Amino acid sequence: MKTTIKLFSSSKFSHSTPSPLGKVGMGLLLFIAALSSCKKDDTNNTQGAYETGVFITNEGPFGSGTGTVSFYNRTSGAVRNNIFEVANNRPLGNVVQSIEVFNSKAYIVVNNAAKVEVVNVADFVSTGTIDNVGTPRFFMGVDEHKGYLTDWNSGIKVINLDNNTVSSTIATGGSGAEQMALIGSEVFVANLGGFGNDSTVSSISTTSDALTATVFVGHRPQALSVDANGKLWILCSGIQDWTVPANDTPGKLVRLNPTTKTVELTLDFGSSSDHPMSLITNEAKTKLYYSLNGGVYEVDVNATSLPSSDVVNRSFYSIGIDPVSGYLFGSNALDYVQDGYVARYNLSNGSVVDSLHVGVIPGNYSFN
Amino acid sequence: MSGLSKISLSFVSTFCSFCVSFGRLFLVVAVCIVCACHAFAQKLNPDSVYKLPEVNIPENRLNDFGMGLSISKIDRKKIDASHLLNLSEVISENSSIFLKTYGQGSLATIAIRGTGPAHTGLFWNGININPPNLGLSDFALIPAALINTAEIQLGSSASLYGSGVIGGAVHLNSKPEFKRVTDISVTGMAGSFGLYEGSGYGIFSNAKWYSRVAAYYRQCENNFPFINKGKSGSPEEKLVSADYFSYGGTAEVHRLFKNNFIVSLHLWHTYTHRNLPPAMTSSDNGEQQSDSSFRFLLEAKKMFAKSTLKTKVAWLNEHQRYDNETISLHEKLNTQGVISEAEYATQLFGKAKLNIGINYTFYSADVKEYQKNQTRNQGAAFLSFLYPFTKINWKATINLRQELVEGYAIPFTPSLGMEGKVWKFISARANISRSYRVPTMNERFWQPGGNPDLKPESGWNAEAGLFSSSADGTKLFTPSFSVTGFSSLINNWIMWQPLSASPNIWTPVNLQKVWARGLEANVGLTYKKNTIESGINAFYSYTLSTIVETAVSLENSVGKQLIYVPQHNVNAVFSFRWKSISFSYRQAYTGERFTTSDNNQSLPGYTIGNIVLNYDLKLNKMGIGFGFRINNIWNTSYQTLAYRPMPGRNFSVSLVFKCSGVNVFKCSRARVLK
Repeated sequence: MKTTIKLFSSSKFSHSTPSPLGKVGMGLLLFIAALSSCKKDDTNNTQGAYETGVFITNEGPFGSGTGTVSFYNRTSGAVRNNIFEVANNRPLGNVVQSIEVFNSKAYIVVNNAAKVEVVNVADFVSTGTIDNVGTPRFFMGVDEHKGYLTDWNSGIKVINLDNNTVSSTIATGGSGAEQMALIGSEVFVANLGGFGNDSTVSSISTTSDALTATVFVGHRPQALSVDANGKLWILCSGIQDWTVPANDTPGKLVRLNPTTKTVELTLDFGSSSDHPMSLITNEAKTKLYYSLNGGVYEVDVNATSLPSSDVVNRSFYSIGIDPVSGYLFGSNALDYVQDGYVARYNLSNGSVVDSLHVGVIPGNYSFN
Repeated sequence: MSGLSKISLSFVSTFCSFCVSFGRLFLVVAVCIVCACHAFAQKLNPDSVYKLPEVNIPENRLNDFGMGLSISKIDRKKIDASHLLNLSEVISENSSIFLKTYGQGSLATIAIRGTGPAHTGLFWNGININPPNLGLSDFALIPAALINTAEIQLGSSASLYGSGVIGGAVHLNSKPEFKRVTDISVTGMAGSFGLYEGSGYGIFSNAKWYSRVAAYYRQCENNFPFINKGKSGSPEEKLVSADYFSYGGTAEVHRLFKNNFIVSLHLWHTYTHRNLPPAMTSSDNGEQQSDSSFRFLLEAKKMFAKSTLKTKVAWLNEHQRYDNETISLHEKLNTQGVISEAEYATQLFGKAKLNIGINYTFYSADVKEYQKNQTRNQGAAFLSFLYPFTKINWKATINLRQELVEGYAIPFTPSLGMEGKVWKFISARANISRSYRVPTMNERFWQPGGNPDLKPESGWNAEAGLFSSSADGTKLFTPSFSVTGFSSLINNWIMWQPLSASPNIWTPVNLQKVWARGLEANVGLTYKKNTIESGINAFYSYTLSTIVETAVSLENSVGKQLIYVPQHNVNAVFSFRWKSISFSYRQAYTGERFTTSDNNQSLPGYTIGNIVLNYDLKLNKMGIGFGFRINNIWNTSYQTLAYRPMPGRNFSVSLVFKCSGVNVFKCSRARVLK
């Protein structure tokens, strides 16, 4: 029986902040890193090695395995795999869902282990674990002391970043809370439906942690992006009902005015078998990209219709855009029981630049 | 010293808990049995055992026509003496076969000769009991208490038994003996981590009737401590949510009529409820599963002077329930099978034998994801021919089988096998055969992903080997050995792969070609003198099972070993018996297993030791046995599957009451004599 539910995750830019560590702190960390790494690999000088570059999370083999994090160094072009275990001498956990860098910490969401691992971005050494967080999906830093974590079971868990504990839970007015986007003092959250179906986006005040609105957008809202005009774009995948195919609905790309909380534009996909996934933007936030039926499509934020042809004719497990190079990162999980790879694409001509050997089932990115 | 005292201390505490919590119930049962035995023994004089001429009950196809195949038999006596819990443990203790297990009592699947779990047939009196939705069985769900004899056949016998017998087959058989016997055995077992099992069987037979009943109940807390390598600082933790309970029974009745006509009825029911523990890298999801099996088989055999006609019809029902509260997943799977078979065997010229038969099978599966109740009809015709070259002491067989399955083109399946004497006590054997596997109903119908365009997997298998013929048993030392080389090529091997257009949907495809080859060796030496019997027996297998062809994008898997197939597996047993005391020590080694298809990650090999001590006290026709078992005596910390904890050193004690040789069917005997 195949009970593993495969979930698609999309990426977004991380809020990257320079390391606040002073010289003393750096020296201390270097000393600790030297101690902890002497057993493993003496050539790995990890201190500061991860501050600038790309983190790629690898979900890991289903069932019994552990996920990993890979690091891509833009300058050298080298990939370092399994950096969490190397730094902490223990596996990360089962099904690594996503990674978010906030305030010089990386928050790694480990879905099936119901936890978030917190590490220093500089050396990936663990600084804490947020345990018992249900079915966690995505983390977002709100302010220095507070973060939000979506959980399919309960909504949004408010995380106290000072002691890495859950301080409260916000019911999002929907089910299966997935991706979030911060606009001003409000966080918008996609109510995907989890293992069922939902069709709403909710907004939450980051000052009061209270639900401010719930808006109908379309079936299975899965990914969110904010454009250069400050508008919220929502990609709805549509319903895929395998037991009753007649219930299938096509996906939608929806634009929401975050101030009035009204839907301004709905772009419908044509066929009930069109179930788009992932929604990312370029660095200028003038273009949106999504995956559909074996291709990656580009939409201008001022467009009023969906494109008919793709910009990269390949299927990816997960996509991301590197704001530094502007390249599309597209991952391939191969047979899901071996190391996958991430191919980098030049979006101006759709050609492959190179490919990176990463871990098992590469699923999420953080560009720093 | 401290290790030893630890052992004895744990033993004492285990034994005490056994006495306190289990003793009372057990005592009641035992007293009843002893009283009953005593009463029968008084009524009858066991010396006056009345013998009718024995009927020659025909063997099954495997033993008659499986020439050149490697078959080993595990009988009830061996199972009784080993105090094991389920078929998975029985097989791994008596062979060098690797079973992939999620932990004690948890899902255990078999992989023989470098093939997959769906490539081994599990047969119950000749009926394939692998359910049609999965095409494979969980060997932890077959309790040792209900097994009469188990035969392990390595390599393909698809020409005899059809789909899915590529790597090998396990046959659970029972064979009636129409002679006056009463044999009752009741066992109580208690072990570490809250293990309690009560089981028993009884054989009641005479010249006309043979009946055997067996039943068991088991529960286990399964909360063993382990080092959690998935957590910071590798703390010692107790396994949670791994408890289970299980019960069941079998019954069979055979009636021999005057004109050599036998009618047999077999019933099987088992139920197991398990909580599914998390891996070290996961949190507890509150997963639970229950499995229930009903099996019914009616057989009729008519033996003529030189031929036999056999017919059978079986009804199989498997019901599985899976619940995962965390992700609100609730599954109910229900499958049925009706299997009917008729075969006619006859002797031809010069002791040649011919067997022809037909099979009709109907499967039905009620699985939500199939969108509707799905069914499958299949039929087969088969022929076997055995020719003995009596002058040179060789036998050769040809087996042919053609199966017809709704929706699939099944390859014609022949095999050729031979075996015979080559020099003194050394014999040789060889077999070449074709094999195939029809896609399971999940592979065909599961939505999303089910693929109606799948082709059956098909392959060719060849093996050859040398083995020692059975010794006369009069010598002090008796050596034995067998060595086999094998090679199998399996085409169209089905793998679930993500659809390229939408990678969150998986679909089974005829993806790869696999070449499995290797070597199996078995050496043994027994010593027998007066009241002393001692022996060593070692199994070794070397298995290379590599991907020859696969999808272009998976080039990193080409030439690599299949995941979870150890290259080396060793199992060595030393046993010693003096009068009524017996002792055995077993050491097993399982080699490195790759966990990714590019062979970039692996689990280290491990070695485990077990001890079994038995003391049997015979009192006239009654017997009391005391068994003591230590598993994992060196307290090895190991993983069979990545991040699935396995128990360290643990114990079990068993108390057995037996009575045998007396006849309870006094009335029927009187009628016979009339």
